[in-house]
Amino acid sequence: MESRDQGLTLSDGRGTLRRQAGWSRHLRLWQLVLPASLFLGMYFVVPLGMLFWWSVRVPGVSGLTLVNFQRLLTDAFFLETLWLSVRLSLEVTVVTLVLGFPLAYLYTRLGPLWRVSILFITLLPLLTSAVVRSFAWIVILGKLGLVNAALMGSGLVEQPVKLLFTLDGVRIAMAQVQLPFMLLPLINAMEQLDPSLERAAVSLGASQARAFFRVTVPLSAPGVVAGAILSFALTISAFITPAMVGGGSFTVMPTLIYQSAIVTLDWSTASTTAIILLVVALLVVWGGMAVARRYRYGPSRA
Amino acid sequence: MPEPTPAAQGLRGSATGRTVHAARVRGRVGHAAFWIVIWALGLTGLLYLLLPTLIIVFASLTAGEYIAFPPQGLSLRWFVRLWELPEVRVSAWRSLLVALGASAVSIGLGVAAAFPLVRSSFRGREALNAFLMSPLILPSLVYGLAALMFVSAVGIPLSIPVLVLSHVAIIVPYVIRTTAASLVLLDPDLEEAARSLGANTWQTFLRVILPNLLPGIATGGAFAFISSFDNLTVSLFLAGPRVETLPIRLFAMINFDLDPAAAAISAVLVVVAFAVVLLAHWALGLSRIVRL
Repeated sequence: MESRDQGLTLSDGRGTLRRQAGWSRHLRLWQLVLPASLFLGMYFVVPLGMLFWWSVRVPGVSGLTLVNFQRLLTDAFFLETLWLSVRLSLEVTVVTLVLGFPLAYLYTRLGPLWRVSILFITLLPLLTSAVVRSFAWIVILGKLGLVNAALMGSGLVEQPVKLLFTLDGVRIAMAQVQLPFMLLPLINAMEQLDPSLERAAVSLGASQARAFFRVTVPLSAPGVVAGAILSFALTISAFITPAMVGGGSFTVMPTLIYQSAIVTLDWSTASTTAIILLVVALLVVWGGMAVARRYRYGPSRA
Repeated sequence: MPEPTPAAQGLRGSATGRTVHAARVRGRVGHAAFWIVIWALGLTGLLYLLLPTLIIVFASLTAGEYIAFPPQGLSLRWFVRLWELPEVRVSAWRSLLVALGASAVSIGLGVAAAFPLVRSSFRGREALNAFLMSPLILPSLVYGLAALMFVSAVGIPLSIPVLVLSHVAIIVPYVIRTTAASLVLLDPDLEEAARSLGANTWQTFLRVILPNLLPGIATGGAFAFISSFDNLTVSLFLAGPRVETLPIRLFAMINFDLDPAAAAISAVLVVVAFAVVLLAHWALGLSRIVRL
């Protein structure tokens, strides 16, 4: 703060002095990032370094080793867990895209009141605790829940359908939890498109559907990629919803990390699983960004 | 089926007229079908987003002993009951304390960091910005495990301050981002003007800069507060049995059985989230938040 004061008082709004003052002010202003950077360096980077350290060490063996990774990546149960996590995240991403894209499109075509309502309904679940949202899905999907009350009340089924504590139940709940993360980047990308592009396509003879798929969808590709990356990365690392709605009927990567760390106190397995999770998520982010780059330059060249 | 336009009627009779007419009808049917599909999917998405919130609030108002549909009458008895559960009260106060502490520290660190990120250009500014935003990307469960390893290696006993600092690490990006977004819109000439009119540095900061940044800081602070207040994954690793927060209490209650009291706690948390969205709308406007 003190150094910034000196910088500010130097400038009096005249020519060279002002430029000099601005320069010296900027020279000192950067120090204001130090507290936050040092804090994160200490309390964020160092712990992550320790996590990595735990994954490449084995008690009784000196030096670094990949034994933990070798052990997990050849273990059938672990590979099954990893594959289930990846599959679940892909499925959830597809569902959020199918429901999110039309909603984001409607957002760009509707008036201000609709827009604010859509944003409100999108942000409210985002800021509601994941524990609360998962609990709500337990209430909805349970034996005495809304879905079964409706199905049995209408006479469609005799016995309650088992949705709670199944993978299907987790798919349904997860897609709702991730939908806002798909919607926000989509809305952001589609808002920047000029609606007259689509109108031009229609006036030149394309049907509304054709104009939508050939003009709006390709131009929204950056938003789709951003939303898909977010949705995938957040689903594969989600712990609360699979743990609560799945109820231990299956294991995904985050539940494995939690069980190893807290229940069996096996920090090597926990940290190695965490590193593998991060690598998978990073690969998807990296791959998605490569796709986004192709889309940005591809169609415009054609 | 829509009525043909006068132009199409006039053309009826000739072969070309019939084709044009058929194409128009097909076009209009296709147009309607397209919008029906878009509206159906869009409204499904909207209802899907809203359903859990509505259900949990509705479930908390039950008069019965357990949660069921349709509920056995409406009452507020489970909200009254919350006050009679000492472990809920204690954990709620603890969560409030942690969230207030963590968001206060985040505002201090975040607002200061936002200034150089926006107002000065130095080598590696973009990289530094990415670094300061990185806690948003890291899965909080992974951070919880890492923080537990760090804390136990250093040998600090698990306590409320440890919990506060670990929450700060994951919520400080919200404050930096919203403050920076407000700062970008603030004309630097305004500061220059204040100073040329005789205001000193502190007066300029307190009377000119801060009031203009307040909406951004308040929104970021509210997001930071609720992220800390609702956090389960980091707290599960660092809270330990003695420092139970409200989300941990709620998590345990729900895993035990479907207690309407848990629905009442949930409804309270929904109301808090509602208040945060309202504050964000009032302070910054929701359409600006989307662009953050």
